[in-house]
Amino acid sequence: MQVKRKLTRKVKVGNLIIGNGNPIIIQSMCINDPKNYNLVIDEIKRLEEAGCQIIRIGIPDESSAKNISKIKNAINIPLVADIHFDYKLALIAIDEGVDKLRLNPGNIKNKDHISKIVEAAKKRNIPIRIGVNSGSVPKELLQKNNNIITPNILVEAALYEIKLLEEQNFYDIVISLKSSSPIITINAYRLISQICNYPLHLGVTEAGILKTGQIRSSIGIGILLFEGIGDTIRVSLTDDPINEIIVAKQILNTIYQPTSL
Amino acid sequence: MQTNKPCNFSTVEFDINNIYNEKIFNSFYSVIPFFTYQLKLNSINIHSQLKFLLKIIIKYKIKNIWLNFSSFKECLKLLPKIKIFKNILNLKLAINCQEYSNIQIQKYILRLYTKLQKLRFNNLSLRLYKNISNYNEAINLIKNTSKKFFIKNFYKISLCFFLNNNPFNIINFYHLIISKNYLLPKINLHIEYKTKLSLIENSILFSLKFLNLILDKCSIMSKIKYENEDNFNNTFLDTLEILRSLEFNNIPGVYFISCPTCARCKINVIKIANNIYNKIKLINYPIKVAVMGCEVNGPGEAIHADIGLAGTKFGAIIFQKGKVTEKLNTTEKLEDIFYERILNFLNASQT
Repeated sequence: MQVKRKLTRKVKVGNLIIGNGNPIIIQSMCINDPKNYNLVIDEIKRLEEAGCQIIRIGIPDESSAKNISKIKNAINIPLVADIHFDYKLALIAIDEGVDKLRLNPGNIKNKDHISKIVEAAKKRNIPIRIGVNSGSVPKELLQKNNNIITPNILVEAALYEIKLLEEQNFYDIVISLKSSSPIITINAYRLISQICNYPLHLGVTEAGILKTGQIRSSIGIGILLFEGIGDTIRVSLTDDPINEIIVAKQILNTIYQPTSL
Repeated sequence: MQTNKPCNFSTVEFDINNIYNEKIFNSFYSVIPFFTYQLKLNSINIHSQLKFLLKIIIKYKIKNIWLNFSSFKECLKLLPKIKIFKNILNLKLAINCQEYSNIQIQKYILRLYTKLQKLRFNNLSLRLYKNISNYNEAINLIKNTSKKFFIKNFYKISLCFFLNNNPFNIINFYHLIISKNYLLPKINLHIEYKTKLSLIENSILFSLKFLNLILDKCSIMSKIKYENEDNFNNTFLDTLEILRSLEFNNIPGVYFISCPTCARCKINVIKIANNIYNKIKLINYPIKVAVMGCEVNGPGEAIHADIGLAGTKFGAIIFQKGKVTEKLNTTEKLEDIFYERILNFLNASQT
């Protein structure tokens, strides 16, 4: 089966390019807190060896953010800062030399704050992933939808944020619309791929332990890849992140295996 | 897309020898009868095979079984021995036709039918497994089995084609055949790969079939290859999980969600999630259980679960049906407490 990739905009992350038919990139996320930067560095090196191509770290507070440069200097792959609630952490992360930001429209909503992040990111050519998650959909949107998660509200949350970024002439955007339901996830990404051509970061969120996570990620990510949708993937597992890389590779091998008929 | 539809269990098939596990069958007793099973018969130990099968059919009220034979000759030889099933099952005979040309297949089926009549078997379904190297071979077999003789004398005809190497090619091919109306109503296509697939390949194969309405009537076999065969690895349980993840609304058991843990995590999600999952994976009752590490997605996901746990700065909160029912100021014995709450929740739900 030949997969016809949907061509999306190119976005540069460190020395890699996401989108526009470039090879699908495998990502993961550290389980350690950057406060313990040595642990994080060891963790990332292990993941690099296993084939992780981009790594994300959670930035819960300022002291974590201020260790980004130490981590960045010790690793080889691009580093993404996962920012929630406090926009100032994004600014520190950018100063510290991070390669990309992940923002969640569900918890950083102040237009002024977003604007400051975008300005700083623009200056350093740092792309932003708008990461919508079914567990943190903006409350107003959820309430409008009778508290039901649907593909449409995930897409709406992303589009709103995209508009804010585009208003500042910022286009280095990657989008993710993760739900814990593989079916909602598939439908959400199908929808957004028809609306805009920003590269897509695929994933089924909160997919559970290794067993359930493999199954749900295969379904959610696999079906989309078959349809040519998606430019980078992250398998979420409540397990050693090494297994996220292993499963991601297996999914890619399954989709892109050679055809004989 | 499937949401809130029931799964037609009879289209899902298993090798009964491979998946039978008393504990699991007893746990999911309510749905066992509705799936379809296969048993490969051979002359060497047919007696013990049939004895085992009879026991299972009666105990679990199983209705759908394909008896698989490696060749027509083998089938003809062993037919008298399966007489005991005449009145218990709607007999389904599956035959491996790799070595036969279409003409030979037709001749053998005529012989088979004659013998079946002599032995007074009625209401038979027939399945033919055939390797093909191009699509025309398959079309030819379909045309042959669409002839009056087959349609008149067999209850159902099921055809399974093996294409080389790529298990997903068959999905496209079946889609093409069905959408071009090559099949008569009595003829069904069966999706099965020659060897076992990995859990990931199987999940994707099932998704491609079940998310495509055109393949609705196709049956599909679940054959999973595991690195080690142990208690955690069971094709039946994993197939239930695949069907659950495809959001069918009639799948028993727990829909388990948990976050992958990160720097924000306040509790040991990996340990708690894995321990809780292993304790509840054989629960029959359909509930959604969440184990979340922090306040970013924790409350959001836990609220949509029937019962959920979310880590906080000081400990954890427990949600039930969207409402906070308990605030814990410690992370000590969190999994014991949460497990107990799950059991209480189940007891309350079932009364």
